[in-house]
Amino acid sequence: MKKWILWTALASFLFAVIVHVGLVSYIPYKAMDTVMNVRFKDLPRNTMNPSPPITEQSRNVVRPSPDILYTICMYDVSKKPLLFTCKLPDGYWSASFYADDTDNFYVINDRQAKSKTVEILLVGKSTPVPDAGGAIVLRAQSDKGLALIRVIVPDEKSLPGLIEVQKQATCKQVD
Amino acid sequence: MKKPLKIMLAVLAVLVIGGGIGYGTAVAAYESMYSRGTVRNGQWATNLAAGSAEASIYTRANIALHGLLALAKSETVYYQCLGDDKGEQLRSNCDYRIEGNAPDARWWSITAYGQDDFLIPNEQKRYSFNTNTVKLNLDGNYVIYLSGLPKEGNWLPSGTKDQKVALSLRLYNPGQPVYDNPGGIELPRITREGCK
Repeated sequence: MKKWILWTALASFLFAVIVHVGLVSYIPYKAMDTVMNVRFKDLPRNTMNPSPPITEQSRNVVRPSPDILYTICMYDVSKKPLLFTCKLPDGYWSASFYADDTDNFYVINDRQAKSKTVEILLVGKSTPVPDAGGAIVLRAQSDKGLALIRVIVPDEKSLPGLIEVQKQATCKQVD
Repeated sequence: MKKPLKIMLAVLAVLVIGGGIGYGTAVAAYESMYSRGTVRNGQWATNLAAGSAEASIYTRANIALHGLLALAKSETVYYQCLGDDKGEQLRSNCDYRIEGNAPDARWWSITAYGQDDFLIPNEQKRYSFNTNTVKLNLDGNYVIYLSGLPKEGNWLPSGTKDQKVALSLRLYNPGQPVYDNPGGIELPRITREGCK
């Protein structure tokens, strides 16, 4: 009888550890998958998608900043690299790249950029790097993920100009 | 007791007890504001590993649920409010005074969120104050009033629905002192002025 209880307790402990570690490790992947394949399921891949200004109606990603204009590119670089081309506004600008486990594996801002137009070539985990020209070459941490362009909106009157900048940003597959 | 029945009971016990403990401890661990790497600064807390590969599995899970797509610390440091001056959870049916001075950063903002981690609906469509929008006092400090009722000055509406409120403080391109001493830099003080 005692041996039976002991083995049950030991198995329960091991199962608890598996559930604990499994659940905690799974959440980031699930959260990214939900954003990419449920919340943004209608947005085309490998294309820049300007988001409207953030309001109380913006419910795709938790804790959005209402002071920032976001542009999203959901990438899949498993077959071909992607070339990001962004013209910079006068104020704060950044481009950040996220892997499928939520890691922000690369970010560059307007002060780090070497010119008013930034080009970044995003290459898959195991695909060869083509001629990048003058673009920054970035090896993706996962073949599928998400890139976000952030622009701070200092005031209402700046918004139309920043929306134009937002529309000029592109991400395109290259051979 | 017959052996097959004993085995069935043992399997059931493992699934229920082990699964329950595993699930409960996992939720408690990733929802805790005090996971490994979290630094407390008065009424605020931050985790400099947020958004990066150095984050622990608990920080990563917490950020995935409450701050997905956070930037790495090289770009932005995020502080989350832990509570008011009495250590109580912020609520929309209470009035708060948020007082401070401009943090050491290129740009900063304080944003209010509802308990669902989204912006709080309000007629003013005002969800935050930042470097550009906050009105400063003559001494260079600011006071923001977090309240469901209109206030003179920097009024940050907390909505009409009674719910928990969360505040995020974003520091974009912070100065070196923020990295050197994230638990010691001066941050806004949040004082409860009254509740309905």
